[in-house]
Amino acid sequence: MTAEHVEADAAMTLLRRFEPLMHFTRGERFYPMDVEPYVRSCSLWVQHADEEAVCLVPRGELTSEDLAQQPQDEFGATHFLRFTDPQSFRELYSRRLRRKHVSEKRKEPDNVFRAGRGRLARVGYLSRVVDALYSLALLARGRLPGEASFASSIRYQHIMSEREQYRYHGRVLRQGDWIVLQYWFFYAFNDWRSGFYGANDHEGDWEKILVYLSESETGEVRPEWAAYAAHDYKGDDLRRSWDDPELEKVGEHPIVYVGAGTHASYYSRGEYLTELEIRPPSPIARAVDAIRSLWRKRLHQYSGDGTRSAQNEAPNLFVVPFVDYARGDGAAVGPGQEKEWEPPRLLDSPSSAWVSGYRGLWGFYAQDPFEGEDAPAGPMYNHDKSVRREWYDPVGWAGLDKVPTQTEALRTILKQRSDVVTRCAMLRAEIEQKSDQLKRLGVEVAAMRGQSHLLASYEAKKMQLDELSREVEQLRAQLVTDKTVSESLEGYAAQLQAGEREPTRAHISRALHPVSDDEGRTGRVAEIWAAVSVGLMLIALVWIIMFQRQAIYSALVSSIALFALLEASFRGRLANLVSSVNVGLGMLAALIIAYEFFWQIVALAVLIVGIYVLWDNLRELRR
Amino acid sequence: MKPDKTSSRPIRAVGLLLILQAIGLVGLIAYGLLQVDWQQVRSDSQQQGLELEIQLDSSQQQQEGEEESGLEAARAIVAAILFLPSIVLAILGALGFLIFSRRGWLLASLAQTLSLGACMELYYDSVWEKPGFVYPVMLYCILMILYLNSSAVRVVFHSRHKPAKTMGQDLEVVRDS
Repeated sequence: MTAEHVEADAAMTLLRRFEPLMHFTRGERFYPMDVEPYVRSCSLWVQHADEEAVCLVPRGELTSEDLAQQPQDEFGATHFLRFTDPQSFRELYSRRLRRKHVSEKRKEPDNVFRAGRGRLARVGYLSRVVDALYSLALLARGRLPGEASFASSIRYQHIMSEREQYRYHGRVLRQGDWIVLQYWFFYAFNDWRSGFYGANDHEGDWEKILVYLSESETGEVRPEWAAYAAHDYKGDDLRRSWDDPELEKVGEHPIVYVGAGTHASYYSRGEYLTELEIRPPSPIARAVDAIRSLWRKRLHQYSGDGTRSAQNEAPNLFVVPFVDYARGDGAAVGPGQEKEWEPPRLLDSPSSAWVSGYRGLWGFYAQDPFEGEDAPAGPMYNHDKSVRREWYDPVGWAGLDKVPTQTEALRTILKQRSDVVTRCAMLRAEIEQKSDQLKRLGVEVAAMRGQSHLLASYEAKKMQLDELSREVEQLRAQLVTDKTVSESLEGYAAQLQAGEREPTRAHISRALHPVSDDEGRTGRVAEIWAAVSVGLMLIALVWIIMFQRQAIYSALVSSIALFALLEASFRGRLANLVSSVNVGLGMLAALIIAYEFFWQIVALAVLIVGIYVLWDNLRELRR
Repeated sequence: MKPDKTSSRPIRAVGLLLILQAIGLVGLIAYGLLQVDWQQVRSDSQQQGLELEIQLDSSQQQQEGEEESGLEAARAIVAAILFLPSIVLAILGALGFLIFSRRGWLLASLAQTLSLGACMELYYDSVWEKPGFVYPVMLYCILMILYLNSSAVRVVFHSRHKPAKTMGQDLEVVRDS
């Protein structure tokens, strides 16, 4: 299934017909823009390993044609753009400008972001500790300077003041029976960390949504699916059926709720708890999984509320919590809104040579080992310069490669049923032939039985007989299965013919949901506790080490117990805490008993085995 | 809603085991206290004022005997103090289990925590010899923890359904599907 491009006029018509309506969150400072003015405001740099970055094209001289050429490319080189200039940060961050910025913000109170309930109150204590460590690690890791967000905002406002425009970049292609509309949104800056208490900041931000159309025999197109990209999710969970109530629409325009700062795309408005997972090294992870499996399966211990997620998803303690605010209470961009889309820029057009030619980053290269603070690569490439799957296989990217279009569904089912029926007929003929062979072989073996001079032949034939018998058995089982499959396909085809559709959400195994009102509700005291607990714990630790050296162990145990008790009470997890403490104490007690009575335990085990063997043998005698 | 007989069986079993635990701990405490020669301890404490004189006059063997009886008394009292809260919690937990109260599980688990904590304190305290009775108590607590944490028990107490409010039906028993 290869991708084919669609003619520019047709592509433009389709893109405009289904272009999205994007709802932003209050406080958003960056909106989808054309790459041209951005590139003109940037300088082009190259970073070679263990060398200082070199400026290739200074600000004001760079064009998208220069980008496509990607000069001075060699092994280990990373090209990147710089939207803001570190030398001008201090100047931009001057008191006068800040004062002006604050006063401007006051003039538009409708666009001020308020975080609401703190993200830390939504997660556990250890996650908060890891979060604190993560924040500290930012000082050591490569990161974007704090002033970059402010500087980028000013530069973006400058571009908008020259010409206010909201634009997306489009691409239309055919893959198999699908027509795929790709909407790519470029933002000058991702200010999730500095603007919305998130994980990262970076210059340049590429986001996308895809709409999948089918074409009838008369050439009429029909939208069937939409897939919104959010935080590197992929596969079936990404897409929603066009009939799914979760996919809101105005006419034929799907509505996208955009994450504040992250610019991730969501189907529903709300606040999304996203967790940055830090997996322990694989040997440790394997050992933990083995212990968990023993605990749950062999010892039949309690493992949550019985839901699939609770049973299967191993809770990871090393999780940093972040909230992605997609409230949709800010500005809206799209058809019929105050901020309307400009005609899109087509990514497959000859004027967009930079799409395939430039493999570098679209903003500052912070050299962050986690890549969170590095700018992303363009729409065609990953950070490592490989081609993105959504570019070369947009159908497979959303898990649609196994789904026929509505037009093709019935035809595909009937074709598959016909294949299965043919296979059944072939199987039947094969079974008949092999059954006959089996019978003949059976009488041959029966005739040879007990004849000492035919022992060798008898054994060979017997082996052949057993093998053939097994083969016939397998063929019969296959036939029964195929018959059932054929009946299922027939039923499925009948359903489709009667106009019934598959459940719209049957393909989703892990859907992203915003935090519900119940989950979001918490006491003010609990929120304050969440904010101060980690700091207080560290202060208590220092106090104990400095002033309670004589009774250091009991002081440590008491303070940890106190903190754990408070934490569990606030989060309504007292039962879990008691259970965990009990398990820990139980393990320690088991070790003590094993240490104190090792040989007695060994002797007892041998005794039990001996008694069992005796009982088993005596029972056999009694039969 | 009447509790299901099949699923209420482990709950009643835990209730009985908790009563057994409370009785056992009371027995251990009583045995420990009865083993102490209280007359000897009392006379020792009366003669504390003359301690220096006694130390000078009495033989080494006598001194050791007195110290031992004092330590034994102290250990018995400490053990009684340490196990008393867990006995109370075990009894309350047992009552909670028998009347199907949601708090029963928490009380029973806390009883195990305190029992094991007391055992650890007695085991690790270097003032006196490790008392032999801590091992069976530890073993009993381990088995109780495993049983209390088993799916059969916890599903009943930690189902998502809210317990019924009527008298005697404090908890809605939900079978594991």
